[in-house]
Amino acid sequence: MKRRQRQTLAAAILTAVFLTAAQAQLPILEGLEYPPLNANPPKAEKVVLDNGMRLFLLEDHELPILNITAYIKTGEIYDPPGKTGLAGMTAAVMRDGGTASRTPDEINEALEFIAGSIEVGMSDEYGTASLNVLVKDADMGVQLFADILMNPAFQEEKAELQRGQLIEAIRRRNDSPLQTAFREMQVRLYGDHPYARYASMDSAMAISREDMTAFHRDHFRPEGIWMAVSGDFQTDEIVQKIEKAFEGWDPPAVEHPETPAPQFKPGGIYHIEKEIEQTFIVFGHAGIQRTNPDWHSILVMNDILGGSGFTSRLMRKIRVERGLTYGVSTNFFRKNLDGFFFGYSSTQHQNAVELIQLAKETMAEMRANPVSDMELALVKNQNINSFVFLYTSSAQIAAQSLVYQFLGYPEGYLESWTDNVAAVTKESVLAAAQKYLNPDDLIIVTVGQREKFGRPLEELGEVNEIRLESPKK
Amino acid sequence: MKRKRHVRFAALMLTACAALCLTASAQNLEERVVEHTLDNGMKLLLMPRTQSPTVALHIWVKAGSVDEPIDRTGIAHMLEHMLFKGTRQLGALNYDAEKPLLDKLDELHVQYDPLNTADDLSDEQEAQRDRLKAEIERVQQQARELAVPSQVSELYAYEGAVGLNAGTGTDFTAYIVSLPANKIELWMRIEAERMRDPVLREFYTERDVVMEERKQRYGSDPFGMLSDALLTAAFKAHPYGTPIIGWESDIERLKRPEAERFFKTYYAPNNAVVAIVGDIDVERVVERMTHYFGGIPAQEIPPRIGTKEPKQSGERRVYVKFDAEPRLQVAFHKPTVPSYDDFVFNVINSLLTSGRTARLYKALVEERQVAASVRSVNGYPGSRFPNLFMIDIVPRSPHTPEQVEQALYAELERLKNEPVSDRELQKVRNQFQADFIRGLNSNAGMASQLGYYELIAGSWRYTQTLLDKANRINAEDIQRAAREYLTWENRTVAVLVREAPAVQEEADE
Repeated sequence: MKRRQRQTLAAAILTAVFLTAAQAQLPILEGLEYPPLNANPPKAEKVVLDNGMRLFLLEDHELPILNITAYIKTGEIYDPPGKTGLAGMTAAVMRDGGTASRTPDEINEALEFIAGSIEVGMSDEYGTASLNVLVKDADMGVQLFADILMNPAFQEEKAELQRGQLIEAIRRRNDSPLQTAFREMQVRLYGDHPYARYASMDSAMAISREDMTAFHRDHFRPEGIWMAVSGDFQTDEIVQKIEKAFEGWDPPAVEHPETPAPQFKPGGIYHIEKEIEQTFIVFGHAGIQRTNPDWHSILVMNDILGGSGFTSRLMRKIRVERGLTYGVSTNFFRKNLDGFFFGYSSTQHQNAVELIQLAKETMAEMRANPVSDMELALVKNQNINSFVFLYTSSAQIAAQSLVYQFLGYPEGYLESWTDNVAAVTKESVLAAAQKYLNPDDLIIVTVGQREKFGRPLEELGEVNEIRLESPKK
Repeated sequence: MKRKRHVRFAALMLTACAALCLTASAQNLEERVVEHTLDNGMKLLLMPRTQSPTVALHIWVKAGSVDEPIDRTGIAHMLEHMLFKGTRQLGALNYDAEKPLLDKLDELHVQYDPLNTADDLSDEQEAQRDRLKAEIERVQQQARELAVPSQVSELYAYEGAVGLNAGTGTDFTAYIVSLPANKIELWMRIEAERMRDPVLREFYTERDVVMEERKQRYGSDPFGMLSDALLTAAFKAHPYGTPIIGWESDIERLKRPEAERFFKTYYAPNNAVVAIVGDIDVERVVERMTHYFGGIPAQEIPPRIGTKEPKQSGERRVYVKFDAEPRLQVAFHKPTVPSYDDFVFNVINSLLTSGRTARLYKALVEERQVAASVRSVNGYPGSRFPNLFMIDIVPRSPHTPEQVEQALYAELERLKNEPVSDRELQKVRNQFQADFIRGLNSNAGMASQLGYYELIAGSWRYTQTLLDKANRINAEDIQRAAREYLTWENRTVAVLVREAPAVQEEADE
């Protein structure tokens, strides 16, 4: 595998040199030659412990530090009905609620005195836990880390504190217009699917300490934990440390329920009234899975549309040429099941409808005609040439070596990256646009002051006003 | 267990020692950073790191919003945007034909801008405005056909650049990018061009973009609004009170020749620091930098602003009404780098808000549960001039900002009245040491640190000074500084509220 990786990097360099020559008429590039890039990223070593935990280890003796990032097979998608927020609260109280043998204060005092940190986090389709310590404190760090993952005590007082924090976050979630628009777009698109569930005051109140202990028991399990371990250690020694710290952890096996396939809602126009200086716009529609075989064409297509900053069409048309916005971008948010495509921007109220029309037209144009040779070459090279930045630190390389497989990307995803990008053609980009862009079926959410719109929002279709609940006093 | 490990690894002593020695030198910046000044005064800070075949490339220019003319706020930031529009060579198809069009646009805007920003126009004036607008669009379109607007970004993108960006602060403007290490010379060519010969094309369209940026960041965001209000209240004389992005009425009048003037005044090699961290051959980089940048002449930089913020003599309090849940910021004036008390405030900052054992987190978030979060910043909004120690709190309902404020003051009083324990001080020192080590782990992070401290403190070695000083600061220093600066007279309070407070009946005694 290591050899294959080197080959792909070498291929990247060749392509780059070849295509640069095509641009050589620019005087500033005259006579500029790039020496070969010496890219030989080290490779993480994989060890599977007896309890099923997988370690991906990379020694790095530059600095006296130890980093562990664990990816955990769980996620907010497993929040039970009526208890949305449980997974996130479980993670937060695992970290803050003490363990069977240590009080929360003991953990924090010990850890922060040695300038270490441990965090536990939760996203929709996985959980994370991280440890950062100086390597001289590796013993204590690994022991605390294991204790928190295995034996959280979910102290009642800390559970209440986190519930209070969750409720405050709910109260504040309409403070940011972009966040509001994004959430409402997702909810309108997915309906009640777990990919778009948000905690409510009621669900926050319904979560009990027992729910958290059960969630932990069922979802934090050695065979569901993959760890990226990097830093200034000897591999066999750190493996033994970790093995010993997690010794005897053998919770009974549990099957996670299967998440149903999303049933996407049809497009529609939604507006939320808010007194601010701009209208924020988020639009989206059904997207793709992580295993999608057309990914590289979709990526290149989206980069040309709105995914690559100043070099994308939306940025050029809406910002650079018209000065209508500070930012506009689009993205495909891939998930295990069908993810979603979305775009966002913001502009003074006057220009809101015009901006949306421009975005829709630009999407339609992607479906109508092939992209130019220049656009294609630019985006392909950008993706191929920036590949080395996936390997800039040992922590990153260790994480990289597990995360794609962990999240269910196709086998060899990274190794075949440059070859797959190089194989993208104008035809495959056009096909991807026609198959995966649907400007006529967008969920569009605007947050702003509708009476100041220069053109009526109804031009885009029937408008549904969303009234947000204001937080209870 | 520790001893056992030593025995077991005795055989590996040699390897271990090699690793340790390397580690020790890795942390010794003195041995790793090469400093070189070109004849024209451009300072180069070069740090080889061979973790990956990449390189972080930073140019820090000592020109920020504090250096702007008082009625041209926003020009530093506007110029930052404009420097992505190319040069005579870059982004140009036919500069000789383009130039008169750009000049024409300047002239048209001299006539158009006053009409566009006026409140009351006669019918005749409105007609005139619309005529000018049509003419501007026509000329703009002609000019656009002679240019490739995003060529600088495209050249970088094509070669695999990541993190291409620029930032304007009160104190500086920084231009940053990372490239595969073999393409460092492309960066030199583009950046030398940018410094020598920029063309601020598409100025007036970009001015609209900046107006949108202002509406997005300040006019639609509760945090932006509150921060703006705090700074304008805290500074009455010094430009630290002016928003970096500028006042709306200034931005919409800015002209291209004004930005060019600002550029010519401050973008000189002797007013810039270049920090390069990554897989580099130092000698070769020095040679190539001399080749590309050496011919750009040094120039005299005008004296910097001398206005000093007068001593504050009583609490200042401002409210901001916005459609969001309440938020609170409290700030105290204090001296800046390299004053001893600035170091003391670094320690206070860490004591109060760094981590779950920090005093304000424990008191406000955990124990009293009046806040959802609390953070603080030492050196706000900049560090070239005396600045603020700022505390930013998100209250937790049903507690009002004013209640949270009282809880905050109780903790600040503790700082004045009780000496900090040795263990707490040692914890902060340990954190500084560890942060320093972790900072070395990223090319871009390291380049930022080197460039920033060279610019602010006059030497990149300040990163080390920070550590050394932190080790010397004791409990008395903290008590004294708390008593001197964290006072009613010296503080500014900004509160974000959803509704205007109800009119209160006069209370009977």
